[in-house]
Amino acid sequence: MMNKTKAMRKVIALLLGGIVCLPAIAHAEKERKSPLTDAPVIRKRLELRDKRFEIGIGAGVTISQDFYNAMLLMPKLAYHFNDWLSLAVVGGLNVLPDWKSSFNNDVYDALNRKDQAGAVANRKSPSAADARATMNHINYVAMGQVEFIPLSGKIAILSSLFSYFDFYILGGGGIVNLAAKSAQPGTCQRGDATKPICKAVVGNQILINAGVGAHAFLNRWFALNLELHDLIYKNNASGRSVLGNLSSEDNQPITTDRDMEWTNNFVFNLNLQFFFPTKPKISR
Amino acid sequence: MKRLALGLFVILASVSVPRVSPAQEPEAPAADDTGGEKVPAAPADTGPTAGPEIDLSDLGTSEPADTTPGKKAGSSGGTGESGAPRKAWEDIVVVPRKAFLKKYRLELAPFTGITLNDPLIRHYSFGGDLNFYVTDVLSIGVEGQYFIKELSERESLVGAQYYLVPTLNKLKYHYALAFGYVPGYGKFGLFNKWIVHWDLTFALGVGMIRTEIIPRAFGDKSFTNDNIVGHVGMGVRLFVLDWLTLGLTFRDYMYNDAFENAGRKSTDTIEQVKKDSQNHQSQFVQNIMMFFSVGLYIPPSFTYRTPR
Repeated sequence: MMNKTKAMRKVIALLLGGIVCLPAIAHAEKERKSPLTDAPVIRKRLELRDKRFEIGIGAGVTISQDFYNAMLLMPKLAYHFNDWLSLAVVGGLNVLPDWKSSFNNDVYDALNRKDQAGAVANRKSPSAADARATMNHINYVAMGQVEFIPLSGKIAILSSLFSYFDFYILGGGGIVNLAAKSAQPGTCQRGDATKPICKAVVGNQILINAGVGAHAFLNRWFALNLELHDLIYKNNASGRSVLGNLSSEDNQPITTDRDMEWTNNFVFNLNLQFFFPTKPKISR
Repeated sequence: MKRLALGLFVILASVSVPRVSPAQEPEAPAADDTGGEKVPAAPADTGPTAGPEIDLSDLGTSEPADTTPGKKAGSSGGTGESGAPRKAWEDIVVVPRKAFLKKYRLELAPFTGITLNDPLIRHYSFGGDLNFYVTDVLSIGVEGQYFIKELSERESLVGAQYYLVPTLNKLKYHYALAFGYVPGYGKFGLFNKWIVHWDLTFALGVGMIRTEIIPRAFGDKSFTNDNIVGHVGMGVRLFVLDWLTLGLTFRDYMYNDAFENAGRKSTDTIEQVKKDSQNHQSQFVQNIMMFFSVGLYIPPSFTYRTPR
């Protein structure tokens, strides 16, 4: 009887122990999580953009333009709402409006040889001067862009120079002003003024601005800013018929606004940008 | 009765132990002598203790991470400078190592590319690089590519608008001996959630490119040119896995090419046309191309040679 009582007491003690211990063990498991849980991936990071203004100027160059390349003087002003989103306005004034592409020169030279060989009036191709007169070029651009900055980090150059940088994508809109030597030379005109043989596209066009960019910070308030823009706007760079419609009057081509089409115009620019206030915040 | 008392003592002891444990110092990650293991997703300090920055690491007003020996991480119950309670991870300093080593590894990188700077003719390229890394930053290798041409809309308009036919060459294939150099490497945080490592690459090479004229007159015979070509390049490479990278590269191929002679007559033999073209219609050409590549590394893993 005595042994039975002792055995019963042991069982009760073990059961009691188990009931009390289980929640405690579960609680311990819960608390045994990594101390790095919830830590940001980068700590004590310089928030080089958060609530800061960015102002600067630089130079841009067009890539693969048909007839005229452009060298743009490009001021830029931006405000960073936080470390990953900003709003910027960018301008671009073409300081080399007469910078001809090699294709422009090839066309001119070939037509010029024809000009020297015989009378222009008796042939279908335009004179070299007329052909060049209606080729347009960028005069200036003015655009706004939203910049989304998902990537930021640092780079070691030659294991001795360290620089902070970021990559971003940009999108927005604006206007491009196009110019030509002569919007409509005399040889382009015909009786019906609404149906010229050729007509340069000049004046303002609405553009869509898309691209990518990067900042490379040389210190906490100064950065090199690289951008590649795709300026998408309607244009007919040659000022000559694209659709190939012919006039019943003289069987010569007709050039109208319908000959314009959406074109991609790439601009690469390098800016020197200053950040204000000059002291950035530092993350936890 | 003594046994019952002992049993209750054990129970009470077992209840109290787990509640004491969280107050102890968190166990630091095990030291890794070989360095082959990676610490997953460890946060990186960019503060003054994190690296030898020259320009930007002098944070000035920032509070440096406290690494005083003997000071317990358990003191995280304190408050930070702003008065907000300090979190446990703020007392742990982690400096990640270079994420990817290339020394004595072979890189096989198939790529595809496109020419950028010719408004009349575009070429798509398919090929690959095979590079051996002599050091972590220097490589020697070979590259080869095959081109497919596409005439642009501008090319088709030249005839309609100016009654001219452009003189063009198409690219056939190219191979070269190439040297690579990695002047810089870096890392960036993606949405401050993940760290991605990358490096900057320069390339220099010399090789041969075969081009072929596109005759202006339909039905005329064409000839090919084998030109010595030099190239320079620059790109970035993202490290995805121990054996896998993604690359974006720009290369400028420079060579002298012979185009179809402007004075070609229908009675000229193709040999005569080629000779006249080489004498009168040779021109220095630059082809700027953009490539996307995938790098596969052999052996597929690497071992750090220095302790963590």
